[in-house]
Amino acid sequence: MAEVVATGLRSENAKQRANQVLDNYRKAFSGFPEDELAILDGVMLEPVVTTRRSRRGE
Amino acid sequence: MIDPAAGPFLFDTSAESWLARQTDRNAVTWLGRYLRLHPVAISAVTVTERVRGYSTLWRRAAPEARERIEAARVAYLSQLTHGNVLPVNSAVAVVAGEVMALVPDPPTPPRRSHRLAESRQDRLARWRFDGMIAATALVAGIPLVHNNAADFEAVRSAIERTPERFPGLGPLELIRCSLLYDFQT
Repeated sequence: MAEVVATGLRSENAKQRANQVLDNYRKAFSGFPEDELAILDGVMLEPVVTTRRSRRGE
Repeated sequence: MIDPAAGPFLFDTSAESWLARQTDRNAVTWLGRYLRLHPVAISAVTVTERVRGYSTLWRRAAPEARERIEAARVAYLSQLTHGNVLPVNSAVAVVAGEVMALVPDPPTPPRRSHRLAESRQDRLARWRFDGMIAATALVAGIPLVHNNAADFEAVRSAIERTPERFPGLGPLELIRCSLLYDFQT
């Protein structure tokens, strides 16, 4: 009987922990456009500096 | 589909955020099942990349947007408390050095996006980080879930070509994050 209760508690704790991580992940990554998500992934994107010469392909 | 019970897996930086952002019901179900069995293991390098990203966005943002970015950063950091961050210890450092010597240059060019681009310097730094993440998976002996096949396949094949440089380790097992679960049709 005690073993059944312990197993149930462990399962419930694991479920709660999983839901907590899922909730944190949603908050951590929602609302960012693609460019900002790339930065969060370690891809440091900077504005491209173009000159008249490079735009003409010269 | 990859059985969540086959974990734990080490998640690359972009694989972690990719999976966390999926709204597909099968993806959410897969991640929920996985989390009941294992933590989303990540390298300490991923924490560095992520915190650098949040901090960069915060510094670039208008004052009224900073609170939202800080809340996202706190949410991310608050789930690092379950023992899921694998350290860069001496073994990882040695293996990462071997990986970096084997494949010194990134196999893919700097990332571009509309009017934004990654500098060659940052691309090289990110490549070094990828080497450290691959080394972390190799030392831990767990599969690496990634969202960047070209880069990590280059590391995997380089390790396979020179097993004598990685005694007792490998092969590096790779899993594309899009193969973790069945997409809804």
